[in-house]
Amino acid sequence: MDFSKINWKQFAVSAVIPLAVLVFLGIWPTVGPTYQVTLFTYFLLYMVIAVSWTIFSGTTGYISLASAAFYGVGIYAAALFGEKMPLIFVIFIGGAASFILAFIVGAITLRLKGIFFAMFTFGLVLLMKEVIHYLEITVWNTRGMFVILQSNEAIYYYMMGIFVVTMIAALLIKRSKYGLALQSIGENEEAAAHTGINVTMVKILTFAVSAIFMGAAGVVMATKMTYIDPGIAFNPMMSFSPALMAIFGGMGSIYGPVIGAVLFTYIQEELTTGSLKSYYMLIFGSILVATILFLPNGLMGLVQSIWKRIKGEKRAPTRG
Amino acid sequence: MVTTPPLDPNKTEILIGASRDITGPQAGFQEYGAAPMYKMWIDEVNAAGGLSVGGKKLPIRLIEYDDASDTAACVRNIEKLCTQEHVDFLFGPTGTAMLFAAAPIANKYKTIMICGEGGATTLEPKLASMPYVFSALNYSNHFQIPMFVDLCVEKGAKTAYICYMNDLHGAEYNVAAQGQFALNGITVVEAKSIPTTIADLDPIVKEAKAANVDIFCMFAYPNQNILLMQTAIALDFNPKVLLIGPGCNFEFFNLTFGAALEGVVGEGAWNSKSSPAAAAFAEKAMAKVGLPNMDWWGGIVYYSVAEFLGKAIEKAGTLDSDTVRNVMATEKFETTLGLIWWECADGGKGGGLLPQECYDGQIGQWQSGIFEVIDNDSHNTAPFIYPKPLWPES
Repeated sequence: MDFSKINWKQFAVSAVIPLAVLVFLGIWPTVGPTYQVTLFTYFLLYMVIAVSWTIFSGTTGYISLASAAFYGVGIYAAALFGEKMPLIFVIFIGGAASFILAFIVGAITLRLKGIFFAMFTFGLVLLMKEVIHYLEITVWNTRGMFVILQSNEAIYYYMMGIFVVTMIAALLIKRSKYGLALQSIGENEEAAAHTGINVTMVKILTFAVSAIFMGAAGVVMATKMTYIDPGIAFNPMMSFSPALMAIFGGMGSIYGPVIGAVLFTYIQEELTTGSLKSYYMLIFGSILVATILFLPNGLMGLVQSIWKRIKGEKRAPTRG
Repeated sequence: MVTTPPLDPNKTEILIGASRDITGPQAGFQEYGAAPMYKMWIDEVNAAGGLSVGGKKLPIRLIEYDDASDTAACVRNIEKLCTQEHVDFLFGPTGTAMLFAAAPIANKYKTIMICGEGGATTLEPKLASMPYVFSALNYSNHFQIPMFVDLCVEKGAKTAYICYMNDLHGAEYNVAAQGQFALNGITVVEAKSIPTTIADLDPIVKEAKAANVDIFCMFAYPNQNILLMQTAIALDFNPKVLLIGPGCNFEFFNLTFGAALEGVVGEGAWNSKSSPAAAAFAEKAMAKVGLPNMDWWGGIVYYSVAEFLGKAIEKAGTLDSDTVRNVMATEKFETTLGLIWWECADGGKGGGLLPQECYDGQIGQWQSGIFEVIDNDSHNTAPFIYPKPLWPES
């Protein structure tokens, strides 16, 4: 083997660093303090949701606000099936149910563009919430359900597993011809259609695939909440958060949403429960506004820009 | 033989955690619910130098996180309080659904939680597996609705209309009321659920008025209950029994509606006439929260269970949650409510509820500006007025 042909820098970025992060994440529950393990579970959750969101929205430019609907479907899957079967099967059910829902919704809505698509997807969250509301109140005569509790470690490792699968899926899609098709849809949808891409089917399938991971994450997180109701399951914040995290981290790269999710979650955590909790919304809002105004390509864009300047290049590409 | 773990010599204070809606739609409860009563108790304990634990005086420090009335945030807060702050005890969050979410988490980390504002009908079967959860407030089938229905049956009421908020609180009260009405031969003409954001109750009030029902029950939160009162007055809907709760039990309801509140029934109740201790407490609490924020349902209960917790800690002589929990499950202590104790599920091994005898009342009725206790037991401070008087001339 000719080692001189290996691009060691690329090898480090694409293999060594992810592997080291994975090893660290794998051993963390055995060495980390209890709360830090819990915090990392939230990191993993938001990384899954933000990366899933970016698989479709980050590439095509279609802003989906349906994340909470798919996440909520997973939560209710846990409530409905959690007592009847092992968690791993429920995760598959939650993922499959979210896929089916997203496929149906995508088939109906992905001919809509821009703000109409965003509005419709957000409407889906409210619709799901009201439908479950109605069923609980008028059919089941109750509100909310209990979910079988899992240990912190189990929740962590399941979430880590979902994260790994999500990252692999995102990378495979991005580096495939399919990803190229998505990219061209994002650049110019009509031109993409003229090149022979089945634009509608590519969009629907990607939208549905991205929903799988959100649904699966919902199943796992439900076992942490133990009690769930439509307000918890279909919380609109779970629709806005991934979009904000991706913007914060940078949508041009898969690692942007990961960094955005970690920082966003950590800042939120510190601000809501730390000494600055009274100023939480003020500070948080200011950070977001500043990011959108001054860092349109997010933190990853900033890093790339600095790196290119160090290397002496004038402008930094923001996608790739 | 079970040994009591000694108090950690490095302990200099008792930490009590709470996830509260300091902001959010239910933030008002910070002014008139459990929070000010717990804080009053903490201030008094600290003014006296703290609680005597294992021969050492320890002051109490409250660590509050804001959940903004968001249940997922509440769950996260409770988890952080237990695992990061290592609180010794917890005060519950606001609202029935929030309690349901918080209770299993507190129990998971074996941290004793005193539940405040909220009922627990659906939580009851779970209490057997939650030994660290102690639910303080009385609620629908524990024991308010059965006593309310008894009162109505005694007076000969035959029909009822139920309007309930589509959250856990409303759903629980609706189920309990429908069951009790059916058992006692009262026909429920209609049971309508409403969203928490409802802005127009005209259709519901008109329908109930057309049905000429004897009883109208409104199981919703204060905002909707204020709207109901305004609508009922405007449309001259005057059933023989008008039950409103929660909200009716707050003094601000009386200050808002004045004479129009005469004969309106609410959940709770206690007042200054309940006992000399209650009179002294009412005066003290009023100085703390102001007259408009007085809570004639839970105020005295929240304070008394906090007193109970303090006495249990002192008796245990340690902050070890298992030891304190066992004291709470087996002992009776004198408090402002009188002698109180917990009835714990699963033969004493599970979580606790206060028995009926511990409360000053279950059902209240506004009579001449006082929220009188009217349920059928020895705690009554006034007889039940039936039918409710007509609305006063404006």
